[in-house]
Amino acid sequence: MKKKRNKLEIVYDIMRAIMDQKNRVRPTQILYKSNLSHKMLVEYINELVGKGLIEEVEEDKKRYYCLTKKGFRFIEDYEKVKAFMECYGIE
Amino acid sequence: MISIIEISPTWFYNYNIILEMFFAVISGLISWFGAKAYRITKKNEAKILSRAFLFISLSYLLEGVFSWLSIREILNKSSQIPWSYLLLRTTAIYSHKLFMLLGLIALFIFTIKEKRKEVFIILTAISILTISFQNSCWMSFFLLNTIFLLFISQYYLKNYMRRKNLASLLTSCAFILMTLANITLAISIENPILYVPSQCLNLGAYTALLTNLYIILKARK
Repeated sequence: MKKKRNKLEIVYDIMRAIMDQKNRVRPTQILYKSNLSHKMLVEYINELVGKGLIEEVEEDKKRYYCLTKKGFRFIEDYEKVKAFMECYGIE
Repeated sequence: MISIIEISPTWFYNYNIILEMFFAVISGLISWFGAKAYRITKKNEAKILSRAFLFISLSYLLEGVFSWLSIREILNKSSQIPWSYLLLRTTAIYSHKLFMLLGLIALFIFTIKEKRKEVFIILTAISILTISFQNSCWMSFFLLNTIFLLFISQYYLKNYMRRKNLASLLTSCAFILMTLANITLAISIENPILYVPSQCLNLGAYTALLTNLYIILKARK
């Protein structure tokens, strides 16, 4: 059975989903990639926008999300920290 | 007195200080990265790991600095060995022993996933008493270190078996080399010639940890 994701892992999955879609993604695509309920996703998105990790842009009356510089830095730091923790046996 | 507190050959003093500084810097870097991991993930294990390497870093740093100061003392005086030399050298050795034990106990506690602070305090007290009331405190110090390192090494070996990647292999090799270095250091009390190979084993261990850190920091996904 797959381990339940913690909050940080969910945040990373959302941000990674945005980054993997060339840093411009519709909310429905994030919903599909992050495997969350709509209500939960809205909560997470609002928090990430509030923290300046992602930003909302509007084009042709459509809403998109993209990572900010801070967001890119977070992903880079998180991946390094994750690799570090794995090699030192931290689950 | 000097023969009691010194186990490294005289010609190796300066090289030893350089090596100790190298070990202190690498342990310090791991401690800093562990603190960063804790800041991001808030995982208690990251905090323990960071503190363990901070203690190890301090053990080498203090030994290096006090050894360097003691050598300066002996160079300035031509005839007799000054008491200040003995004082500085003793401080170097005992601060190294204390912080190294604290670091290894913290690492051991991390590997057995023990959360209670009392276990750390009891193990520290028992270890300090063991090395304080022995005729050969070097021998008991190295043997204690070896016991802790054996447990830590088998944890990292299991971690490598589970992950099968270069980074975990390097961590595992580093701790195995440290264990071998400690066994060699214990033997070197009777055979001082073995002191240099044991420090070479430690050098290999810390180089593996540094390479590991380099791989992690350079990794781009």
